[in-house]
Amino acid sequence: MNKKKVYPLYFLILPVVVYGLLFFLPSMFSFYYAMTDWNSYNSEIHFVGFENYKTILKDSQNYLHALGNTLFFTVGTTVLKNGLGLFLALILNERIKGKNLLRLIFYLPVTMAPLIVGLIFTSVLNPSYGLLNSVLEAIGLGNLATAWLVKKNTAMASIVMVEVWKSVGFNMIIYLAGLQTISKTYFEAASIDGAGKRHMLLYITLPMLLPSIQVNLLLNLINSFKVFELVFILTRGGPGNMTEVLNTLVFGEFSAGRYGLSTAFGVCLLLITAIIAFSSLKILSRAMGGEEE
Amino acid sequence: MRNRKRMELAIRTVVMWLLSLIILIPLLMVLLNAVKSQAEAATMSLSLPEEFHFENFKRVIKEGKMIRAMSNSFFLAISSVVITNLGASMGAFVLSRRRTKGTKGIYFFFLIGLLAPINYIPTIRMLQVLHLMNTMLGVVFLFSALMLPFDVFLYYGFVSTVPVELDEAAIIDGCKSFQMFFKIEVPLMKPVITTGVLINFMNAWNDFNIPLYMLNRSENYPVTMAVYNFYGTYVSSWNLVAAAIIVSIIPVLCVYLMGQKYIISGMSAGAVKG
Repeated sequence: MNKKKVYPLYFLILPVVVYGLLFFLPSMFSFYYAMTDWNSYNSEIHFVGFENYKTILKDSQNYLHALGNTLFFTVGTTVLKNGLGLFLALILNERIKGKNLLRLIFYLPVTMAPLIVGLIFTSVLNPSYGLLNSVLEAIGLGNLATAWLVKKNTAMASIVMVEVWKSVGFNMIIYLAGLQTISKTYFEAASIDGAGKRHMLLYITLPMLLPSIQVNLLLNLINSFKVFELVFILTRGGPGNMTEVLNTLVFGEFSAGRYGLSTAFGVCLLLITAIIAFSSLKILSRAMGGEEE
Repeated sequence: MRNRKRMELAIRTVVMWLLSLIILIPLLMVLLNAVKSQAEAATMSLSLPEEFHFENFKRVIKEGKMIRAMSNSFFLAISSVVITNLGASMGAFVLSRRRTKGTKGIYFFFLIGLLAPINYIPTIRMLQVLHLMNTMLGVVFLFSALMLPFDVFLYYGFVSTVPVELDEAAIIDGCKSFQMFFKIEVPLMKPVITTGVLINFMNAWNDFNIPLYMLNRSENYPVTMAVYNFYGTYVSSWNLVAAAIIVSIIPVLCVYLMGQKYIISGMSAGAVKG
C-alpha cells in the first residue's frame, strides 16, 4: 500500500493553516512585537530592542508583585487540587452509596465558565451579606467572618479557594481514571503479605498513580499561570494592586494602549510556562523511570 | 470486623455527601435567588422565596439581549466545533498513519499549542491583516486554532487503536482516500468525535477572554460577555444577575448531563495513556 497516496498530506491543510496562522505565528511574532513601542497613540511601530523588558525590570516592585501572586496562586491551587482531588478519588473509588451522583456533583463546576463562577463568588464572599460569612456566623464561627476579597491577608487566598472549588473535580476525575487501571491483584498479594492500608497506599497506589499525578501537575501548573477571569471579576487585581497577576497586567497594558509592553508581559508568561512545563516533565519522567526499573 | 467495615463505609458516605454540599449550596443559592424579588435577593440568602418571580427570566432575556447573545454563542461554538473536529480528525488520521520524521514534527508542532499561552496582541495584529478583527468569523477561527492542539492529541491517540487492515481493505475495494476516511474511519471514530465535539462546545461556550479582546461591538457579544455587561448594569439586582447566570449555564449543563460519559472519558484519555 502506498502510504503517500492513501494518507495524503492535503488532509493536514485545514488544521495546519488555522492553527499555524492564528496561534503559532502570532506566538513567534510576539518576540518581535515585545521589542517595539507599538501603542494606540502612534500609528508607526518602532523597534526599541529590550526597552520594554527594561521598563518591566525598572518598575519591578509592581510587576514582581504580580509574578509573586501568580506563583502563590499556582502553588496554592496545585497543592490543594491534587491533595483534595486524590482524597475524593480514593473514597469515590470504593463502594459508596450514590458514588456516581457524587462524581457528577464534584465535576459540575468544572463545566461552568470561570467568569460565571467568579460572579457567583462575588456574592458568596461579600463581607456584608455573603453566604460564607452568614454560614460562619450560623455555626458559631462568626469571629472568622471577614471582608474576604478586600483584606490583604485573605484576598489572594480567597481567589485560590474559588479556583479549588471550581476545578478540584477535574483532578478527581483524572485520579479516578488512574485508580481504575490498577489491578486488584496487587492489593490481594499485599494483604496476604500482611500489609496495612497505609502501606498499600504508599507502596502500591501512589507509585501506580504516577502517570495521573504527572498529568494533573503539568496541567495545573500550566493553567494556573494563565489565570485571568477569576481575578478579573473577583477583585480586578485590587484593592490597589494586591491581587494583580500576570494576565491582568497583560490586559491592563492592553487597555491602556501600550501594546508593546503588553506583548512583553505575554512573552514573559510564555517563557515561564515553557520553563515550568519542560522542567516538570523532566523531573516527573525521571521519577517514573525510577519506579519502573 | 464486618460491622466495623460497614461503619467505616457509612462514615465515608456521610462525609462525602457533606462535602458535596460545599459544591451544591452556592449553586442552590443562585437558583433560589433567581426567582426572588429584588429586595428579597439583596441578601442572597438561602431562604425560600416568598413568592416565585419567574418574570425575572423574562426581564433578563429582554434587557440582557440574551436571545441575541445565545444565538451568537451557538454560532461561535458550533462553527468552531465543526472546523476543529473536521481538521483534527483528518489531520490526526494522516499524522498517526504515516509516522515519518516530518509527520512527527508536525505532531510536535501541534503539541506546543497544548502548553503555550496565547499572546493576544500579535494575534489581534494577525486578525487585522486577515481582515477578521472584530468579526464573528475571526473568533470562530481563533477558537478553532486554540482548540486544535487538544483535539489533534485526542484523535491521534484514538486513530492508533483503529486497525490499519480496515484501511487496506477499503483501498483494495477501490476507495479513494476521502471516501475511505468518511465511510470507514468516521463511523469508527464516533465515540472520540462525540468527546471532541462536547468538550469543544463547552470550551467555546464558556470562553470570555477571546471576545473580551477581540469583539467590541455589543451585537456580537456571546453569552459570557452579555452576562458580564448585565452584571455591570444591574449590580444591585442580584435576582436578575442570578437569573442571567442560570440562563447562561443551561446549555452547558445540558451538554454535560447528556454526555458526561464521553466528556469524562476524553478528559482522562491523557491520564490513562500517561
